[in-house]
Amino acid sequence: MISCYQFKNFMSGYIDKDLSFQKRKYFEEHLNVCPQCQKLYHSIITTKTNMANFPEVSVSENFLSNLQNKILAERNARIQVGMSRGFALRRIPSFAYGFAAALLAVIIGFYLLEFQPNTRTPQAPPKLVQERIRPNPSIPNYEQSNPAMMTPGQLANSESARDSLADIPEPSSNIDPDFQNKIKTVKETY
Amino acid sequence: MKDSYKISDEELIRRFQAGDEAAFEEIVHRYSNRLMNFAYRFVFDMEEAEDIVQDTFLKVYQNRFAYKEIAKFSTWIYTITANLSKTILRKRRNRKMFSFSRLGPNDKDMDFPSKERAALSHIEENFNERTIQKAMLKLPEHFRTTIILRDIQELSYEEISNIINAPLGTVKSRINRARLRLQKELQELRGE
Repeated sequence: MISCYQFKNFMSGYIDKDLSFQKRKYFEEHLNVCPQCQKLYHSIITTKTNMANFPEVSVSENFLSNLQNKILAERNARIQVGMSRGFALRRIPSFAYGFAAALLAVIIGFYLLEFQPNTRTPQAPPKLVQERIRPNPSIPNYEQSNPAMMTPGQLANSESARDSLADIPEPSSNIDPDFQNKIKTVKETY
Repeated sequence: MKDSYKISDEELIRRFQAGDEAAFEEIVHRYSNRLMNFAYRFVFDMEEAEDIVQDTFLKVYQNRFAYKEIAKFSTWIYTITANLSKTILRKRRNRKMFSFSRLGPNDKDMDFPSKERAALSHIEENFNERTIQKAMLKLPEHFRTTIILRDIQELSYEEISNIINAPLGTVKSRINRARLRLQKELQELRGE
């Protein structure tokens, strides 16, 4: 058997048919034995029925025309607010002005730098700099030895000189005679 | 509250969004009395209730594109009316002024002018309605909203859940508590 507290908790579920079979059974059991809860249940049912039968209220006859007037008035008010704000320029947000000014400054700056006449003339560096950049005699001259700095003719001569037979050292006497003969054969062949 | 119209509310608002003003008129025709009943039971004042309903339609007109078809149109429009009704009540509370047309707990407009049976029956009904209405006005707003939507407007738990933006379990328990509280208020009014 459920308590009166549980009964009250089940009340709307029972009325709206939203209770499980078991709970409905418990509810009805309590309803049959508790006069206080019975009274409460019946008064809720009566109130609910009364509320469902409340007389319908309707809008007044000129409701639609009033609504149309209201809509028109609202629309006109919006238009007037728009007109009172004046020319469209006023409605441009303030950050747009800042952005436009910055853009203009960048464009002007670019043109000024780009089309400025070149007034600078080549000048000798100051004496102090000249002294600092005096040629260093210890730096070797790579012009002759570095192949990257050679002219094509120089490069060819050096290559041919390097590949000449004379550059190949004579075999020393302590090398194996067979190996010496092989070298000779190769020399003769090439 | 079952709709038996050929064109659904959602189709009507879609047409209105596309620029069909006649669709808006049809919406007004369908909902004006329903919303009027809801608003009237909420604020218990005909003039204020009508203003609420007009403002509801004005909002629908202005914010027609705010409606997305993820919820039922009825839910959307009831939500607007409920919010406007609450605003009116809040303003009323702030003003702390009561017009004569509104009833207070000590009003003396319940005298029976006639003793004829038919008239008595009508007056009894009227008495019941006014007493319940007075008891409802004593309920907190959230109880009042749910009990009006459930017991007067006869909306489903799901619809109420969408309108008041609360979970289904909360709606069920709130309806139960609202009904019990209403009985308590009625007992006090009847002097039981």
